[in-house]
Amino acid sequence: MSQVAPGEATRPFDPALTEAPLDADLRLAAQLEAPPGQLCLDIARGYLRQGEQTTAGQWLLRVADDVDEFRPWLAGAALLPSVVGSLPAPARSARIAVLGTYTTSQLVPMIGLAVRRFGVEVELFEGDYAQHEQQLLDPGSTFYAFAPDYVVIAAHEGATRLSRLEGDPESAVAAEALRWTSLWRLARERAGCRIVQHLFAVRPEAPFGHLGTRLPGARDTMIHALNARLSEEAGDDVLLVDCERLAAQVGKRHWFDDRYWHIAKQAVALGALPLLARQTAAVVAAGIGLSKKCIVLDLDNTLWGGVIGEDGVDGIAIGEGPEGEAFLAFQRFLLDLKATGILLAVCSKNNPADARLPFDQHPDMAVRLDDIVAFEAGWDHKPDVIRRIAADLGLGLDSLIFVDDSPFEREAVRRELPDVDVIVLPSDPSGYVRALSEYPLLESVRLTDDDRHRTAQYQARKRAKTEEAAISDLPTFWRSLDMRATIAPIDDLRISRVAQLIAKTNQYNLTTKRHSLDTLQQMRRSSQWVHFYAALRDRFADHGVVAVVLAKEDDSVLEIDTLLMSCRVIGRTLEQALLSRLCIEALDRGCTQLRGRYVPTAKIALANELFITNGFILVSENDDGSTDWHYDVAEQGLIQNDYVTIEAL
Amino acid sequence: MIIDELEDIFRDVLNDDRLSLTGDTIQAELPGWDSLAQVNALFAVEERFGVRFSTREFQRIRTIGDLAQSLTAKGVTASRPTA
Repeated sequence: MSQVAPGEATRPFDPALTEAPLDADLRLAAQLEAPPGQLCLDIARGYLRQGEQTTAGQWLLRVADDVDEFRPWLAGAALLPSVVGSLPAPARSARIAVLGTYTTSQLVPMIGLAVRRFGVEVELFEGDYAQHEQQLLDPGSTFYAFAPDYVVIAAHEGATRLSRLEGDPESAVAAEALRWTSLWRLARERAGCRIVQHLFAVRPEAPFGHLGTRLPGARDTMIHALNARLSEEAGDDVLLVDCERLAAQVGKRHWFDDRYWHIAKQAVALGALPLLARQTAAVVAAGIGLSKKCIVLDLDNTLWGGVIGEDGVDGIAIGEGPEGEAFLAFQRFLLDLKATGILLAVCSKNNPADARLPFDQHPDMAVRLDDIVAFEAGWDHKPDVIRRIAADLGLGLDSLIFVDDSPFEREAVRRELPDVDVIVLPSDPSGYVRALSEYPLLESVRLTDDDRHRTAQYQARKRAKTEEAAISDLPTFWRSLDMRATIAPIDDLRISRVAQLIAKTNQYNLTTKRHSLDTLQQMRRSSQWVHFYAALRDRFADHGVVAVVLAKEDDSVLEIDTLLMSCRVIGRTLEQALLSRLCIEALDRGCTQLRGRYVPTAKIALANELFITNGFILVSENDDGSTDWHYDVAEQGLIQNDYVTIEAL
Repeated sequence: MIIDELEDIFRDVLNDDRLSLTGDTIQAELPGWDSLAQVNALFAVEERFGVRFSTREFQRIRTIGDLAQSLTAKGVTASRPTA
């Protein structure tokens, strides 16, 4: 950075500093995948001093990739006009006017920097402070003379005319919405431009406290209603920036800093302006059609944990365990993006057959093969494969982004395919969703699939009704969950999860026997043992493998050795399904009785209820506190499973 | 030295790569150091040193010496390496 060696203009050259400041900065930047904005700015200045305008311009644009610091954005935006001419001219251009309800002197040039970073040549116009209404109302204003393609209405909640507590909130919100939509209409009719409206961030200080949410007339409640109203009324030519979400993202204590308002009528804290500028630019870019269309994904350690070619289907982490859950969350986020129209492609260094195994065989994969438009697995150089994917899909390289856990592959793509944006994943998969979500060019202007949208609405309405009914009593609640279980003998794919449950389950565990993986394998091989797991899913979630039962045949008796359930599915009657299955197994083997033991532990004694509520009879109470129970299948019949539908594997 | 750091910051904020500062540099005499630049510069200083100026300080700081003094009072001693 600049303090590595201060500017040579004012101080004599120090021969001890053998490295020029630019070289030192470049060396530092080479070690970083995502150099901070200040470093990019310093490097740009270094190249400018050497008269290398083009390289300076390229580094200057990279300032916009990091929204954490204000200073490089301010300086970079100010420097941009003097170097932008030496960069290759982009194919697209836009005239952007910003009309603010607060001081926008810092924001406007920053929007220019961000839009240019997204590959759009930009002309800017800044309206005078809080003259948004006048400039739109006066047909002869400088705003109309500028002839914008886009007008950004940079508004803040202080500019609304909503009072602290309104007697007729509905009318007040309607009137306020009309004020803003009238401005949209003027811009549309007189300038023929598209509108980018900043929605209102709600202040963090709530005069009515938590009561405020129950008061439709409280100002904050009305601001939320106003945002919703404006979102409803925005037509195709109105793009919205959800400032309430952005403020929450940086933290409202950082978004609102009243010193700036009191000193300079600046409603958004300076530290939050880079984010606001970049998000505004992303929405404009989406409007121009520059959003990315396809995410090219690596597989090993990107979609799942581990290496499929080495670890095999049952060795990779997906779905179960902390890392498995993190990868699953990332897969689900990808599916959410897919639902907005973004294509998913795969580019993996793997044997083609291996690469497909998890999709075909692993029960916990959320992304399926038919979610993927182009599946490339092999040993070719990734930049070549990505070129092929783009060609096959008929997309430009600049429509693609690349997601890979390997810094080596990322560097190869950055170097050889500068048009492809590369997402830098953190080493912890729990951070994958955020890393991708913070990439700005996945905005879509609207969801085009109206039909699907409508179906979703109907489904939601139907669900709301079920929700209402579900709270009346427990049986209704259980039925409403629409629980579906798979109960099957323990197989290779699930044995490690089963072993994990046996090792860790404390709360709902009849005997708390900690069998080792070896013992489990022996039981599986022995015809004396009945063994099965249960996987449960319901309307809301797929819980995966959550229960294990082990029982040993002994003449006419089936003796329950282990019966346990994960704490996340306690209280849903899954235990009935397990016992019901045990009854069937007993009859199949010619056993007439179930026998079970309950060994109390220091943990909560939930499991004891199991025997009592399902008709077992107490046989003996032992000295160690354990109890033995007995159920006569032949006489008492099958234990009923009322609420869980059993599905075939 | 704090003054070197401040010089870097003012070069960025005022977009002048050749700018040179001393403790005696007065706001009124430095081209571009207007009220808007004052807000920008003081925030850039806050960001760099992790300090916070009061509304009053925003108005009272008029020279680089004032600024350096205020930083010293806030416990900023000398140049720290950036992250």
